[in-house]
Amino acid sequence: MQKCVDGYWINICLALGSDAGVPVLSSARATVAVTAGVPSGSAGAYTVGFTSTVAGSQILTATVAGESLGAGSFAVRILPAAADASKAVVSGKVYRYCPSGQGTHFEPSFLSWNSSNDVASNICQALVSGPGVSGAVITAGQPGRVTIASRDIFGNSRAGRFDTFAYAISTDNGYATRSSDGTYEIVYIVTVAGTSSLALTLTMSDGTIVSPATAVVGHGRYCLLREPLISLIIYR
Amino acid sequence: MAVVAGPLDAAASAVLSSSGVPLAEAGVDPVADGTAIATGVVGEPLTFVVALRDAAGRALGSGGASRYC
Repeated sequence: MQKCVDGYWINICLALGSDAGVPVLSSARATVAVTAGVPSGSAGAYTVGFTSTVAGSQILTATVAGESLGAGSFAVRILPAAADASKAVVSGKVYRYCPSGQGTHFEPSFLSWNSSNDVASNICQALVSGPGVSGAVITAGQPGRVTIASRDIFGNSRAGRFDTFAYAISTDNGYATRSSDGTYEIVYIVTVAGTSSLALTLTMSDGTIVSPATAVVGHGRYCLLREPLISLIIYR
Repeated sequence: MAVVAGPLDAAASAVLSSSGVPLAEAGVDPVADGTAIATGVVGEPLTFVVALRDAAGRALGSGGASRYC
């Protein structure tokens, strides 16, 4: 057992973790002066502080001289910080397009893409390049879906918080819905083949508008299909 | 005659929120026992008050100084 009492100085050790027995998320140690022989009273209360970068329900453990203080473990709830556009995860579902031995065709299933991961390798002949860029092919007239998962600057989910995401599509209208898990979905339909754009912006609580991602909708020039196509590229 | 606190007793000591409310023990319903769940925001200072007491529950006298490491 580590002895934390050094003369009149006492080391108070606090640690924050998601659960007992797991790695500590944050910790703090304060050494306070305790003078023996002085009258007891309101003194004896010491403030110890630190910060956490992980949101969620956590457990605070407090020890002094290796022994638990009071009950030893306490409930702490850490809320996420303000939304940060650079951490927002933008994802979507689009129809998958693949060439086959007999020409080209669309597969009916959806393929997900995500702005935080380059999934270009999963998309046949996708028009994708650069870090943080994803791409896909969708059919003109079919709904495109973009989901935005709000995060704070530390990457914590802002589930249950209200953030304002705005969007603009240059060629057609869409609509946005908000789910209870902190994600937002934009459903849009582009009926005109050719280059168009989908711009996503996040309005912060102070009114600042930032752009987590910009989607560029362009003509599917790589495809030889009966219907005109549009391809979707997401730039972070 | 002034009462002098005895040696520190960790079990008799307590951890309070920054506003002085006793913290709910992990796994205990804070509504039922009158304690509170400490709430903070990531990236912002989260402070607690540690009340050091002797076995009789008397607060330990303090020189008022503290240092962090």
